[in-house]
Amino acid sequence: MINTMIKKEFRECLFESKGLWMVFSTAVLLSILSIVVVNIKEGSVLAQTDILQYAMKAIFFLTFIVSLVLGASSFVSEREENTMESLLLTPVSKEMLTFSKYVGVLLIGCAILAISMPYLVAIGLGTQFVGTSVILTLFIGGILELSFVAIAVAFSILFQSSKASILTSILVLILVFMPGMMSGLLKQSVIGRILLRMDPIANAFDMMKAVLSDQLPIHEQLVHLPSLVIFLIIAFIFLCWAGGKVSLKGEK
Amino acid sequence: MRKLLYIFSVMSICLLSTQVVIAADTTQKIDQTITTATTNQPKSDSEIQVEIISPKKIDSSPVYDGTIDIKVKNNTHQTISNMGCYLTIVDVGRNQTYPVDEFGENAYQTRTIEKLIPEEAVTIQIPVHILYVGQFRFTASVIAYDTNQIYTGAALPVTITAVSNLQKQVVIGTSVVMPILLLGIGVGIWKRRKEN
Amino acid sequence: MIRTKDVNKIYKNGFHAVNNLNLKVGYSDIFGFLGPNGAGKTTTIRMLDGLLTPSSGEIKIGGWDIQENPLEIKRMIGVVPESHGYYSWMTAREYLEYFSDLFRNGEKQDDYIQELLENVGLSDRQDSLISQFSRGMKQRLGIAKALVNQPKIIFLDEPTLGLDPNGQREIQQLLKSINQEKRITIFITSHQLKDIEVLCNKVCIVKAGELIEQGSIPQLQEKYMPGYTIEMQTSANLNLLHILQGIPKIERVFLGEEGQIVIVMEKGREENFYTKMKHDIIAQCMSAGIDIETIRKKKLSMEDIFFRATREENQEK
Repeated sequence: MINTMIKKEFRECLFESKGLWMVFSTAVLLSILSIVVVNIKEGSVLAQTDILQYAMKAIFFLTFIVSLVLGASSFVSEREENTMESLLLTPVSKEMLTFSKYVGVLLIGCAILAISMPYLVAIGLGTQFVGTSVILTLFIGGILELSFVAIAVAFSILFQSSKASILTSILVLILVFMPGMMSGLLKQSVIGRILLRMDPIANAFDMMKAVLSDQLPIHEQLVHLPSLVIFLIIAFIFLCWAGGKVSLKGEK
Repeated sequence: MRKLLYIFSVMSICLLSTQVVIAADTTQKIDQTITTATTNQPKSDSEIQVEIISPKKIDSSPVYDGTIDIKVKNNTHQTISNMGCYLTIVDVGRNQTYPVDEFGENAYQTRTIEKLIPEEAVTIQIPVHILYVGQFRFTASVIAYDTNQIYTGAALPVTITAVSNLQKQVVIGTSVVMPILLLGIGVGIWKRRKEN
Repeated sequence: MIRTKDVNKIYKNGFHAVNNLNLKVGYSDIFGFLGPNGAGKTTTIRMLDGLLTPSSGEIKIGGWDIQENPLEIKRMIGVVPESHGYYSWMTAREYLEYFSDLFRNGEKQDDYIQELLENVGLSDRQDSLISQFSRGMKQRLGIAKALVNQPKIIFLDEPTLGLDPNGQREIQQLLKSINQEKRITIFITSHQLKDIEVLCNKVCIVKAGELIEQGSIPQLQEKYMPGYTIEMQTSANLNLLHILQGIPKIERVFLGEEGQIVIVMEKGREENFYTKMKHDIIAQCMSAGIDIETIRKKKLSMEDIFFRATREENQEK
């Protein structure tokens, strides 16, 4: 039964929610970015390892945005299309329903990570960091993908409209990304430094920089893992709590 | 008669002393004038001498990590207090400056020099972390906050050459092939559904 | 098959949607649940299918308590909700297979699905996308989906809403055949009184959350008919009117809206009495030389029953 449900959710994300086009658009965007970086003058300012890091950040951002949009509309679209009632009338439990939607969206995110690998390999060729960058992208991207999809699906259970659900999910993404993007500024204050220690994206970026730019061994960067793992745990708890609240629109 | 001679002597001594003082003052002013003229042409021999003593030049590839040692000397006869020492970076090839924080976490902060007594010199160390590729000039400057004077030393030539093996053809090839491949897969799936 | 006892539903905002509902639906009944808008029909059906929890009271479906055995009840019921959405990117067959998998835990029943598609008249469109279906086709697909788990009861909330007369008739015939062939109990909510009249053998009328009437249609017709009524169309209705006014056992005789003779006799008498009275009336016509065109016993329509029941309820209040 669970296989049937996951397969249906995956197909729904792909066809109904335009997931297929989102995957294609991601590839087009990555292509454009890659071509721009290798051709513009300013691109040559950067070392290859830097370009690799920027590529990884772009892959993360695109993967998470697509996954968030699909996840945030997973339950809400069922309510809006009036198909939720039929689902709730089956013997399937709310938890199983939540899990199947979660995995369905996750598979799309994994597909995007997979299609990003050729770009990463192409950019990294010639350095000693191809394998490392692929492993880092899959590892860090995987943990963050698991977390963001959980948050997005949870919001889709709690909100009544897809607009609210999607916007809130994207807001969370921006809030979590922001410290990592403003690390130079935040480092100057105590509160900023605490925020940077806690933020999973900032820690992910630090890990990437340490391994690729500063060429430090990966195993020494495990100190950056706790914030990622804690973020994942919080996201799962949120999803489990929200899963119990699956209901029809209007039922209190 | 004696009284007249006495008065004449005193007046002469006074006049002579005045001349000596005036002569000495004039000499000092000339010296100062020379000193000021030297400072306005931003090189050494100024009140504050700023010199990058180490390294003499940087010729490397990314990532370069090093420390720039800057000697700051008070060439005046007065104690100068409340100064700040800092780096500026110019990209020769691109005709632009860079924000110094892009060249190291601690490179952009000014180093405070509390005071320098006459002829005293201190060495300031600023660590740099160079990622970018290009031709740069690093200049060290000292600002005296009390007088708002800036003293700059000779620039340090920095050449960072890319050791980039970025394979442009492979990247462009991948960028072209991937979307086409995915489009083909997408169209194939759509056609199969339509046939069904 | 369905039994409710003092069921109440009060929403959190204080709205009392259902008030002390006591329903009884027998095996293989086609039960009509009537009421105006806002009467609590959809709330009731959602409580019966387990989507809503009653505030108080007891609901038993097929002997199972709905609070204690929700899974067992889900397996034995099928539901066609009022606002029924479909996965428009699926084909009809894929849609039924999906729900079949959910109910049967992956066990395939391809033959049964084929049979269902044939029964609802969609076998030639089984590989078409649902997005291409008309409203009537979607409704038939919804009924097929409700039957995919081989239920004992199906609940339909306004099944013919928005359908044209042909579509309505198709649905009516489909439901009748399901009931007759598979002996499935059917619970329909509607305010389309014609549907109820054609399909149902028992009805229940609710208003503002309260049950005001329940019973078989003949019982309700009997109850709300003022007396045993015969309608006649003759060649000389006025003459016959004068003649019949003199007959003592006839309570009232008058001309109806369409000019027909309406004869009202005391109700509750034996059938022989009414047969004898009819013969007397016919004899009177023959002796007066009046030709009888039609003569029939008048039955109340569901519309009449509904309006009389709700009017009486208002008067009582």
